[in-house]
Amino acid sequence: MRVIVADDAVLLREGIRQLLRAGGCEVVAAVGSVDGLRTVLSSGIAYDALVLDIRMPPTHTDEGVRLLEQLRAEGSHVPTLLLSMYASAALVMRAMSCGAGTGYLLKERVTDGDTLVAAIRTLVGGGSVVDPEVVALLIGASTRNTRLERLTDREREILTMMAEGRSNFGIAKIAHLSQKTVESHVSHILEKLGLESSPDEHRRVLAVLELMRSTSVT
Amino acid sequence: MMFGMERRRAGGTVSSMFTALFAFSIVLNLLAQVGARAADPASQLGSLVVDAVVGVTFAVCALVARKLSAFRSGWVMLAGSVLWTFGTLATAIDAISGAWAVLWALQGATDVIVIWLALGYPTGRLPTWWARSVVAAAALLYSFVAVTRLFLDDPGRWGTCDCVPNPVAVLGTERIYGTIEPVAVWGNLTIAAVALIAVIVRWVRGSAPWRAVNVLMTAVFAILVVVWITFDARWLLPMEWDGTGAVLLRSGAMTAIPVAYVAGLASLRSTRARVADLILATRDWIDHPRWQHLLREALGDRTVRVIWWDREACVCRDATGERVADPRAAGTGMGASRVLEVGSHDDPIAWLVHDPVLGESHELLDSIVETMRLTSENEQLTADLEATLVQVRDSRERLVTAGDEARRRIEHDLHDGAQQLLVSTAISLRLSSARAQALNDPSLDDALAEASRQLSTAIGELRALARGIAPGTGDGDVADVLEELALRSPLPTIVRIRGVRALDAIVRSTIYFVVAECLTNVVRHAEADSTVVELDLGQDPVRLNVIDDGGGGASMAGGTGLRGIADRVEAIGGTLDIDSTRLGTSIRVALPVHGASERALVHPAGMAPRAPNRRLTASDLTAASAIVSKSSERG
Repeated sequence: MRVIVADDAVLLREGIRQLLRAGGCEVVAAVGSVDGLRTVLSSGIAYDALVLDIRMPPTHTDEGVRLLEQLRAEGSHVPTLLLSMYASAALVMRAMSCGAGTGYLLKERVTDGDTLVAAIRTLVGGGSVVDPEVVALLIGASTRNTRLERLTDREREILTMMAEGRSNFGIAKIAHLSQKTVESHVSHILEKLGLESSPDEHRRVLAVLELMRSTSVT
Repeated sequence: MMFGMERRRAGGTVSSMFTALFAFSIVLNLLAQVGARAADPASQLGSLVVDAVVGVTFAVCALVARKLSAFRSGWVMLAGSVLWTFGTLATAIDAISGAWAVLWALQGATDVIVIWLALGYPTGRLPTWWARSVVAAAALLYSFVAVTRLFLDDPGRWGTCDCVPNPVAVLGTERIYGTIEPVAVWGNLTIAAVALIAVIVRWVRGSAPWRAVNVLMTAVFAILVVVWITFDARWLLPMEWDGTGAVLLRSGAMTAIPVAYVAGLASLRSTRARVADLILATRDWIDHPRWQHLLREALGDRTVRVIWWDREACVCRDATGERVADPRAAGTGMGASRVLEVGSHDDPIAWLVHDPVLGESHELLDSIVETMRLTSENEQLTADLEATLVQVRDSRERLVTAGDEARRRIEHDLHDGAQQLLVSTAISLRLSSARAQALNDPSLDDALAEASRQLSTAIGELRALARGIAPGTGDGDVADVLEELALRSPLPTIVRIRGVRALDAIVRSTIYFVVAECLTNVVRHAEADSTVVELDLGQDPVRLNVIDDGGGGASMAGGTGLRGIADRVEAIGGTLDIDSTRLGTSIRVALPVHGASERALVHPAGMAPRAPNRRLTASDLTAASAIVSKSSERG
């Protein structure tokens, strides 16, 4: 897999590059700014995924998300993993609203190279990745939701994994359940929450996140 | 309070005494006329009526003067009314009682009263020593006349009249009285002439408004004196004059005195009202053209000009703001006008350029100058105070901004420095750990894993610390910031945002701190079930409301940190109101869009403003579900 890394912190950029290389990915470019990334993207270089720091110059606020929004608006569907120092539900929702092949992870999560590479693979495969801490935040904020209260603990656990962007297969693997059992749980959960079941994993993630968030913000 | 009441009661007593005397003088007057008619049925009815008119007019004018707040002149006129009646009363009783002599003697004092009124106009006070001297001389002379009449005049005994003899005129003979009377009459005429000269001189030397107010009174007094002179001269000079006509003329002139007096008072009152207007117009702020206009009205002088000193430009300007010559400099073409300086020579405020005659109404000018000085000082003080307030407000905002800036910088440094360093160290550790595993060295592997865990904890703690230093203000726009806060609040929190607007960092962080503090308070103190955060960005100032359904009790004094956020809000020129009842609390904040001072908000280079409606709406969600269901059907 060919990956482009954009992070304004040199040490981290190098660290991520090494992790990716150790995980069997090829880092075709590593840049330190939005403009640099733009130049690389327009140079015609071949790549499969982007790893993008959210806070970059000049404002050090949400450059990564803005860039993703612009890329999607331009019609690019390149799988993109956004990295952030902090968990921000607002930024997660903005990122996820950009469509499939989008991921959001905390930087400390990707110190484990396996997680990083796995996330990129998921994205390239058309899936979504949401940092567990953000999901935990949303689930915590959603406990007031009467629809969520109807879920069993097991279902809630599975819902959390759904929100993190895991596929039924991935959930089955982690929860040590058969895929059939997971599928049955998932359809129960969707039914209870009033959501339609869909083979599109990203739509599922987005719908679940949006549901959780809508309980606290109108 | 006590004094006020006592005075009012005393005033009431004086007032009822006045009314009683008024009624007494009217009744006495009518009785005198009836008595005179009864005593002498042959007397002319016309002259009796004229007689009555003089007395009643004095009394009525006294009442009017009193209403026009010329208290002293009211009394003087009432006295005139009563004394005037004595003459008629004497005629009424001269056939039955010797008391007529006393009344006859006192009657002449009416003339002193008239002189007093002429010289004491319009206050009833005699302002100058010569006015007092003239009235004193008149009083002395009339006392002499009264004494002469009382003790020397006895027409009853001499057979020149149909009356009882004067009981006290024991010394008098017709010859003695006949010698003294012309002296007294000439004395009278001299005093009257002197009084007239005094009144005319005073009029001529008076200011324009003074002359305007005084013209009627002066004219009427002049006519009266001429009538007096003519009236008295007929005894002394060989003149043929119809007695009835003379009496009518004399009475008419007398009647005109109090009438002219109160007419002048009414006119003066309107002048006072204009001066009051002037002072009111000056009280808060001096609008130069309007003020000059009012000053001209008040002084009755269309030529008065006001020249203002422009302190900043150090030049003189007229009422319309045009630059004019400095009136302090010699030969600036002020002509015969007089220049009155307001303020001091070194620190002037303005100059009044006026006709010299206005100098006579120095009390008026003094009060105008004083008012101008006070107002000007007041304006200066207010301006100083406002300047200081602006400075304090600015410095307060600068402090808050600097504090925010410092926090952001620290957070930034942590984010770009220590946090990145630690995360990259964690990555190195992981990579080393992988190599250690390859070396098959379990103890090294364990050590690295332990270091990794510790590092992870350190990263977490540092993250929390950095977050606390500059909380959530770098995560995007204000909507995102509020959403994060709502998500992290343990209570159901609804965020409603209307409008879109780019806010200054300081306003955004203030909104953050207000909402964060309020939500914390709600959780800690309010025992609420839910909270609503409303932000209206569609107007300037931006409105922010945090409303809960808890038990209330929020106040600045409650140690809830509300004081702190109120300070912060006020520091950027906003306001914070608390409305806390048992049904819940609402904190209402208004924040100027650009903080206390205007600052242009510039989008960072290369950053396009974000589309306002990027947030998913309920209909988007429905649409998404519809697509989901369609694809599932297809599947």
